[in-house]
Amino acid sequence: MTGVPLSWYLILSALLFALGVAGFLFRRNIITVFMSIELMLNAVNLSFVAFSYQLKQVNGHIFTFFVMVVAAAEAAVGLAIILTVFKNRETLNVDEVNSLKN
Amino acid sequence: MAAASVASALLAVTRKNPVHSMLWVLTLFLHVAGIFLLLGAEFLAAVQVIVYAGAILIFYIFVVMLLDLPDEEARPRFGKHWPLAAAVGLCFAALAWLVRAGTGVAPAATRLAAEGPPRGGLSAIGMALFGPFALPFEMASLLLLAAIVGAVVLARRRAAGP
Amino acid sequence: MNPISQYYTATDHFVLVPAIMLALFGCAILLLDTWIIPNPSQRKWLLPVFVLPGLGLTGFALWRQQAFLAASGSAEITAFQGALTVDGFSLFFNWVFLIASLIVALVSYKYLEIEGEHHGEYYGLILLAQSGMFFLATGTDLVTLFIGLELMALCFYILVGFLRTDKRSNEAAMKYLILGAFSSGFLAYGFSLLYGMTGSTKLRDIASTLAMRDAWDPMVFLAMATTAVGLLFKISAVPFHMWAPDAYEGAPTTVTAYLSVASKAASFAFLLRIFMGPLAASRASWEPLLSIVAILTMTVGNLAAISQNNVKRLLAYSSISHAGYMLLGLIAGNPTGIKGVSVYVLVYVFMNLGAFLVVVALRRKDLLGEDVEDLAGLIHRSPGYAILMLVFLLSLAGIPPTAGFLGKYYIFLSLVETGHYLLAVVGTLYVAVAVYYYFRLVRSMFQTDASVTEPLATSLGLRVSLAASAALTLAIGIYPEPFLRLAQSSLTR
Repeated sequence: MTGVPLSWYLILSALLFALGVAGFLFRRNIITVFMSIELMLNAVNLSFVAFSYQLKQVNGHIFTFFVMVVAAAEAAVGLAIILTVFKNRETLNVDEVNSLKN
Repeated sequence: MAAASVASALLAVTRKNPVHSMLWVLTLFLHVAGIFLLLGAEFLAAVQVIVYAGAILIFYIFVVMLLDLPDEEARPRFGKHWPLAAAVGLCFAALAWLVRAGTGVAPAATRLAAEGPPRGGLSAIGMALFGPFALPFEMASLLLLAAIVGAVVLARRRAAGP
Repeated sequence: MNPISQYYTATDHFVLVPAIMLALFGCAILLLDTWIIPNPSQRKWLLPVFVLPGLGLTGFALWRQQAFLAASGSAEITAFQGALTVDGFSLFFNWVFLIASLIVALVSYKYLEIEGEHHGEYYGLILLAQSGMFFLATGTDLVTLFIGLELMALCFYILVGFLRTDKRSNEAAMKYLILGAFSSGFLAYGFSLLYGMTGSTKLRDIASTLAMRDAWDPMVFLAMATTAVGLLFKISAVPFHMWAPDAYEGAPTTVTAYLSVASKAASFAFLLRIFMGPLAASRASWEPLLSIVAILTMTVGNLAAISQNNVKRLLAYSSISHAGYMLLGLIAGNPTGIKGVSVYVLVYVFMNLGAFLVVVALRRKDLLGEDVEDLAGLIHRSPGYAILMLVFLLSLAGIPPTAGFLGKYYIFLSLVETGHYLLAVVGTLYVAVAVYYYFRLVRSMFQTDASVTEPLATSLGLRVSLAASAALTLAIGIYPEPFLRLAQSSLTR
């Protein structure tokens, strides 16, 4: 194993994940909210690859691959939904999309 | 590279203009791809660049342009959830610390490491994907089919519907 | 043996047939819709009718698996090197999904016609979603489970937003998708830690490795917590329930019905697999956590339901509180508790579907039919529907002659058996609250005068489904033995 210990990668991954979560909770623009989710998934990928490297296995890489597939599929559907929302009401601010009473 | 990716992630979630933050996410993706390379995952690094940086982000940019954003709304960028967010931040600081503390124990699993060198090379992934992981691979194709159908159903115009 | 079939043996095929059938018919309906059906009047009945052979063949495959298990006397069939496991548990849940899909497919066409969105994709997505659920109930590998979950969830995002021109439907889909994707992120993070600690994605290997570690080990705790967050989102337990009322209210009512039963049952199957499998060893750390979540879930679900005027929203909060009761069974964790959860899921499918179907029946061209007032005087308009709704509501409240009582009975029994007296008391108290808001609906149906007087016009499929749900709700309550035996079979795992 190279000089960098596993824990560093995991801390990096935890940080990125935390930033993704923070972005998700803070931001009001829906596109940015979606990108925060991509950020979280990237953090997950990073920790999978790091573990995989440590364990000298290919399983983690496979999982990462599937996480990417899922991210792509979610992005496709998500953006289609955003388009329909936008067509019907002309805003991307999460707070303004509120016709369901709460 | 790690520092750079954290920095770009930070910038990505704080920029006001979605296009700017998208560019920062792009740099983040490229850095993560670099880290994948360092970790011996050549295939995933390539996929990361092609799929994330190439496809997904372009997709986002298309949508932003399609929607023709009325100048990024000049309202407070952050919602009213500051206290909540601060709590979450603290939780995750604790989390990062836990991970650090925890990895001291994690290498218990390294007994498996003796098995040999198969790592993230193209052939290893290919063999796994079409061997033991053939089932998830087929399931992923269903998933993508559903996504395609869904995107078409949701985005087509009413008049074009049968 | 040639090298290709090493990864796809006869056993693998045998186990996979139900999913193959669902996927095949799902795709076939998409093609049929585009190419083959010439005129719209045929489409109306041909599409739902085409779903039936698909579900029939799936049921047949499941029945063959059940017969095989019974004949061989073994507890389970594993396939794909342990990625899929057919046992009593998975079969039980697959039957539940099958029933839910069948009923929803039968009742949808009239509703979609009114909404002007009758398309083949709807049925295709229902079948694809069910194949996702198959993998959730049958999968025993993190990769398979994760993709199964996403397959199901993705289909539901689309179905919730199926009414493209309806603002509420768009919005519901958006909220559901954002929060769903967020929770998937958590779940994936938890899975990555589970994998990292154990070096395997198979639940069995993970369980045996984790059993050697302390429940309060920070890594284990972190993996448990993030996985739990992801899973609790999916069952709409309380700190993570925000999406449910919005998604339930905005979605087409038939989809709401499907979402509230099938998606919840599948998520519970997943939850039980994870918590009774790999995380069973760290029970000490998750038991207090889940107890708090369960209490919160029952509190918020029941109290928020009181003040709702939209029936769909009211039922959404009530379904949140039902998730709380089901969690109690997991917390008790003994065989009675797990059996209780199984019975509860089965009962819940019939009573909740039934209640939503009545809301479906109220929809007309010019009337949403979702307000409590729209139920007013139903007894004078269509006495039959009013009586059926009464049965479902009694059952949801857990009043004795109906099935709902049975589910709650086993849950509370298991809590008492394992000494969780406080939880049992809290749960019982909230039953009283629940009776109050269910009876608001009943009062509206029976006492007030109707503003509209003509009886409900409904389709044949809806009438048959409603009658069947009500009959089963009563049957399970009055003569429970065969159903209990079925639930008992889910314990062999």
